Amino acid sequence: MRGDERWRRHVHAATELRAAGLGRDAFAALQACTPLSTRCRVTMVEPSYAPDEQKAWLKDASNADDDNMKEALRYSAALLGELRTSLLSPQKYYELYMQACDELRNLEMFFREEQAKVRPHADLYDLVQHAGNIVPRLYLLCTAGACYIRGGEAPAKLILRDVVEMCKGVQHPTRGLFLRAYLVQVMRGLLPDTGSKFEGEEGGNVVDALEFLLVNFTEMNKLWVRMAHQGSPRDREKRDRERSQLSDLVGKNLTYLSQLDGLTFQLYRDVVLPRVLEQVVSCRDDIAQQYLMQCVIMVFPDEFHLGTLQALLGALPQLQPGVRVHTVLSLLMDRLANYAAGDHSVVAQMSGVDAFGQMSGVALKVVEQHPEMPGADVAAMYSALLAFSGTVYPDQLEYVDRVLQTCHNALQRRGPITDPRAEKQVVALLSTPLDKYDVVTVLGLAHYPSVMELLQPRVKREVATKIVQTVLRGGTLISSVDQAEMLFSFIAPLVRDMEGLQDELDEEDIAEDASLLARLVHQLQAPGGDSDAQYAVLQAAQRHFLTGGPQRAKHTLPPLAFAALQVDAATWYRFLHQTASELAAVPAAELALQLFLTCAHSASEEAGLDVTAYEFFEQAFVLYEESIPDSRQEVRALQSIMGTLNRCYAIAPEERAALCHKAASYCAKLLKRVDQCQAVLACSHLHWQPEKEGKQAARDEQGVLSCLKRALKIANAAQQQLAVAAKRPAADAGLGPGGLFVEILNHYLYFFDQGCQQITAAVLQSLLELVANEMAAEGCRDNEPLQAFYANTLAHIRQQKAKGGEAAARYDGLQVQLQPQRQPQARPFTALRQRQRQQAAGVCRAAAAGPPVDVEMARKLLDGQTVVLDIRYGSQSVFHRMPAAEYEAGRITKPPRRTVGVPFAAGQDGAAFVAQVAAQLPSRARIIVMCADGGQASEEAAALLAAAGYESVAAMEGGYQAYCQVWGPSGKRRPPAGRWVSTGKEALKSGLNIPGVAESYDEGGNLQQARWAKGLAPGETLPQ
Amino acid sequence: MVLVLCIGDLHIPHRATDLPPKFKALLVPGKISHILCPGNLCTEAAYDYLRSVCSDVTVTQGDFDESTKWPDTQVVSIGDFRIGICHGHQVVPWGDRDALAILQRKLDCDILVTGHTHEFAAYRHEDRLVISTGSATGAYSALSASDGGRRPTPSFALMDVDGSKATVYVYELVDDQVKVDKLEFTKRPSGGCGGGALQL
Repeated sequence: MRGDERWRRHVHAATELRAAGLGRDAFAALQACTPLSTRCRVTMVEPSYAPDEQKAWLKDASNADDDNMKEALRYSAALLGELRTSLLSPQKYYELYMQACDELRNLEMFFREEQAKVRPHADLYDLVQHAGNIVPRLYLLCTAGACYIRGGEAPAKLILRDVVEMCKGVQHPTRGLFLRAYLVQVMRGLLPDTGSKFEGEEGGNVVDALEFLLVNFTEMNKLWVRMAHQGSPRDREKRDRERSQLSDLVGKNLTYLSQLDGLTFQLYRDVVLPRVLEQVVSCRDDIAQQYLMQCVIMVFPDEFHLGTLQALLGALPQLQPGVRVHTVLSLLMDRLANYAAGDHSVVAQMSGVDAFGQMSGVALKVVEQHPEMPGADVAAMYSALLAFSGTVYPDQLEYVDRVLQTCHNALQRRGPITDPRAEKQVVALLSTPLDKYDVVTVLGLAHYPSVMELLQPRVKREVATKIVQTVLRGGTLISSVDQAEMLFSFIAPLVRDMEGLQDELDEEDIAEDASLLARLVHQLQAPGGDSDAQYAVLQAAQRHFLTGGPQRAKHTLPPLAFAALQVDAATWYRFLHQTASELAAVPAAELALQLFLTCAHSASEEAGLDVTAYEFFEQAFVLYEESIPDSRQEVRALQSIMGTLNRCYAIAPEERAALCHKAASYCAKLLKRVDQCQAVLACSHLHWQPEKEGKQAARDEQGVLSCLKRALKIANAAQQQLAVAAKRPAADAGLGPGGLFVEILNHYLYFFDQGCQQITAAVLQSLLELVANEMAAEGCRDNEPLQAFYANTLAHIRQQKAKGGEAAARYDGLQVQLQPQRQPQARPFTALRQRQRQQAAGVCRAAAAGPPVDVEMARKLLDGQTVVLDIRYGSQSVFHRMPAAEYEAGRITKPPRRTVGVPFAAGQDGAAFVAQVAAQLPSRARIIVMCADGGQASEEAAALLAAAGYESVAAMEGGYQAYCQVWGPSGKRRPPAGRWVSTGKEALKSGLNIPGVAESYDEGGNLQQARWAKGLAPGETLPQ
Repeated sequence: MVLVLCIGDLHIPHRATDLPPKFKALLVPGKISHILCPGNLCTEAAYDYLRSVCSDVTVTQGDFDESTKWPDTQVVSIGDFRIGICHGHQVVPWGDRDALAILQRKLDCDILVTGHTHEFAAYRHEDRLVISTGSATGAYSALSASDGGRRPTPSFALMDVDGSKATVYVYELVDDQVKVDKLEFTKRPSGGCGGGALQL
């Protein structure tokens, strides 16, 4: 044993060292000087506090069937002697205790077997008391006692009383606590509870069981509290932490108490609660009181609490100042609230005992008794009280007000709230009633604002956000001006800049606030469609929103306008006008413009107010002209203008015409030709409103046609512009200008289908030819989306034809090849001739106004089967022949083999010339006649050839001179002279105001007039 | 099988507080693989909401959108279909079938998803399908207000695309009850440019 003692000490020392956090080295050193250390297998990883060797002996002893009882007891005592140590921290002691408990279970088994060998438990009970030390003695006594009771040899109540009294012998806090913990643990199944087999005359009844547990609880609590006073005050914090870890040992008693079957309400009220509370109150310890009060509330059933509310609450103000009474109180209130929510009959019972009155009384008392209690705790307590009253008394609003009042009083004394934790709690306090009651009613309470006033501006904003969110979530309607005013006074931090808040908010925060307000607008609804009341509410909202500055107004004004639009009253348009104008002043021109248009639409169609609608349009136009910042937004705005104007029937014809004219003029001012063209196409619909019941649809075929023609012109110019820039449409450019032609075709078809008489099959036919031509051109041939668009359009025509009936009959006149053309060369001259024929009918192209072909067209045709008949050398006069060398050097060679040279001059003998041509070109050849300057000679020659039977002859406009100005000898377009800006419009937009540039601009892209075509140097002005 | 949500003209917060709660309950994340929105989400928050339902969101520009970053038209390919998306305020006259047909030919799409009228419509036009999503929030529109003064019915469409077959489920909120309609659209197998039969 001596050796054992020695190494045991070492083990303890080592454990202690480890507990103290010393290193492995120190521990290893200790091990090294210990002879038996190798046997005890103490490792760093898995601590083994109880000596294994003793365990083994104990096992051997208990296994031995002889009279080994004494041996077993001896070794058990030795093992339990380990628990006598004072060196271990509670946590380490706990581990040791657990191991000892394991061994004691073995011992208990052994005792039971012994009993089978006719050794009465009474002997055993005596025998164990021979152990030398008190700690092992009492542990053994508990174990033996348990066996004694279980065996039914002794009345439970006597043994229990005996043991619980004997345990008083250990007064060391840690050792005593664990000993008693062991006691309740072994005895818990052996209590003479109602219905258990240990109940009886002798064994006692539930009162004895209660007595045992209560005594043990009281003793344990005393030990636990005593722990606080052990050791130096320096380690107080560490000790408190350790004590909290042990709280469960004490709480176990209460848990077992609550689990007793025989525990009736009377017993609880008369015996258990008074004694427990007395112990709790008298122990005067923060940790113990806090834990035990919570434990009492948690373990005992709700109906017990309800019955003993007064006693329970009465204990609260008597607790130590350091106890967080609010958590205890909130816990109780939460439990009761849940209880009431689950069972409605309870509510009446609660009202019977005036639960709310009692609780608020206690809360008040607590606050008064602890003036140093932090604001956060006060707020937390009151918000629990609010939650309680909200659940239990959902219709008692004066309770809420009372709570807010007392809370306000309590908090006010503590000054302004700045502690973040307190702020959070007050926010929770203010949000609780919002969830439980109707928002508007809560805000109407007298003391809600006063509590809110205590907060910092930043937190006020937070509460305001919560209020708005609650309104939105609940779908609460704000139905009168008073309510609206009240609400806005609460959410002022969202509506406008607040003192001390400006610096904290960035743009994003403001936008967030404002969009929350924007959503709130839709909750402002007067009941039953009362438009006067609605007007008043919205006006109030508008007044408030306008104080918020432009950043907020941008978000808050549009919903206001839409809310107003939904009311069916003609007087509203003033309000709308004002709102939209304010929005325009923000400035949010785009949104304001859209709003003006929506209002115009509504005024025209819903209210039938033509003058008002016109005014709105005017406002929109003013915004368009003055405030739309960039070109893309211009396009968007114009789209909306067209769309709205198309839909407005009520405006008087003259005024409508004025608006349409204005809108049409905007088209030409757009930056990109593609946009211009599409805008003009949209514009065509302004002259062709859809039929609508009871409305006079504006229909003006001439107007439609002029728009379509204009679109064609622009498309053509766009095509040329692209060619001028000498770049192919980029792959991602979509349809490119070629798409415009197909789109125009589609619009022609649209109006054709609609029955526009001026668009005849003949017109369509020539257009189809033209588009076919374009589609076959180089830039369009490989553009797949474009070809798909074209194919779809042709498929549409086929379908229309196949439809039958009246509509299809109109298509009968259409004799076109309805397949996308891959062989375009065969067509141009037909197209050309037809264009000449159809000129009067309306389809025309800007640069091909007369029979002669312009240089652009000529170049395009030369890519096909067409040849140029160069009559130059000799064209000046018969007397001045161009030397052959000069001709050879200058003639058009790109594309190759497309030039035939036959000299001809005006007034020359035609027959000889025709004969010369006939020698080189067959009569079916397509010929462009080119002279030096596009004068009389070429026209005369063309006429001669046509008369001689050539089917396709045209003169080239401007002749060789013009051709060479545009096309270089390599067949590529010549770069423009000087510093070139593509159009005057672009020049103006880019800020380069070169004199004369704007004047040179012509929306048709007139090459003759274009600045670069004149070869002007920068700075030179155009001839007037 | 791919679920495609077509939803547009939310107008939050301009004209509505939020989506109807019953719609919100239907639009749970994880089931929908594409969202096609013809526009008028108005704020970034609404876009973020759609993103939370499904990360693949295709949006086009509406006339009341706060940001101007969206394109006017978009075309996506789902299953065998080319689906074109455009808000529709650019197409004059608004909501006109023939005018929309021009757009559809231009985009070369089998299905055109548009909005702006705040009135749900799904119809076949020359062998192509046109879906007007209506307004998911039932937002005010001067268009429908002038056609009889009623508030638009909140609606959206869910399209189940399976190869060359699309089943369109129409969700409408009538008297606070969700009403579902179904229609089928099959693309003609040969046609490169759409077509098929519409069975209602």
